[in-house]
Amino acid sequence: MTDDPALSALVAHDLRGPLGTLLVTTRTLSEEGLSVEDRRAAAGRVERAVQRLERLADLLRVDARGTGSGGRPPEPPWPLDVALERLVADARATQPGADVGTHLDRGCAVVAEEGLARLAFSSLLEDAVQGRGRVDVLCSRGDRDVRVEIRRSAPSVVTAVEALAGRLVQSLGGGLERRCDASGTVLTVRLPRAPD
Amino acid sequence: MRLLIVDDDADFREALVHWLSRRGFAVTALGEGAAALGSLDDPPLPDAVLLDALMPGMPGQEFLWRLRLKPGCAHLPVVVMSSHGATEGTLPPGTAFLEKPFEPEALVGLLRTDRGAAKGEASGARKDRSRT
Repeated sequence: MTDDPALSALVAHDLRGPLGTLLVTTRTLSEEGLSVEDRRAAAGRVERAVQRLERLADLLRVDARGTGSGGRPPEPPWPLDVALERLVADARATQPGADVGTHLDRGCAVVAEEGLARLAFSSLLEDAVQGRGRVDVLCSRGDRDVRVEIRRSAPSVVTAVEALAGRLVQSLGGGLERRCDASGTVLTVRLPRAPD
Repeated sequence: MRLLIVDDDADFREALVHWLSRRGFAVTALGEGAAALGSLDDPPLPDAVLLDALMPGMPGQEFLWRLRLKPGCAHLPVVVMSSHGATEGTLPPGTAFLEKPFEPEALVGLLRTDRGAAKGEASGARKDRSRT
């Protein structure tokens, strides 16, 4: 699966967590006398657990495939600020009630393969909104790169999804840094900015 | 029987609360170690703690160490729930272990054993997934 022991441990954790939710919840759903509200809540847990597993599977597939350019032609600029607006809306949809704010500079097109970049950012955002507390997404335009900060008001442990998305970002020519303390977690992603 | 669940995975926590409440347990569930330790300042103490090993802020090991220093909690039974296998000898006395994912019936069985957690019945049922 991966030759990185630390990543393998994270993958095991990210697999076993949602599997635990699925196992307990399916046992619950097989019982008599559940209210409509209980069934609805259980269905929501199942849906979110499946989404977590799907996200992990997508990232593992891309990670195993490798992301070298392989002589492909240069990618057209990808408007990251516009894409983030949509991805944040999608992430909100997966976690109703999530407290997510945005501050997105305009003109933040990046040079990156759109499919991979979209997968990396959607994974990071959905991972963030599934945690506790508020999430703020900031996108700023620098001279040579575009910086995206995903700030969480709660501390968090590194997940396999985050680690794999980070590897994906690095393969696109960018970078990912993580800071975590009692006041929260900040992921900073950089990608090369497309010329105007 | 009163239980305290400490796990940062909200969905897993909610699933366990629901399962255990329907079986007559009085369950309090919290998402972080510091808040859970604080909740132990107010009586009554739980009869057992279900603890996630990997949590942000305060990892399970630190929680256990601090828990044992609290008045009345030195011998409180704890079940550590982890996605990583426990290494024999790494868990302190009075601590049982269940590897996620585990059968919820196995957890209930462990809790209803005569202080099973306190005996440190580590992981005996974790692979027992006989479907009914």
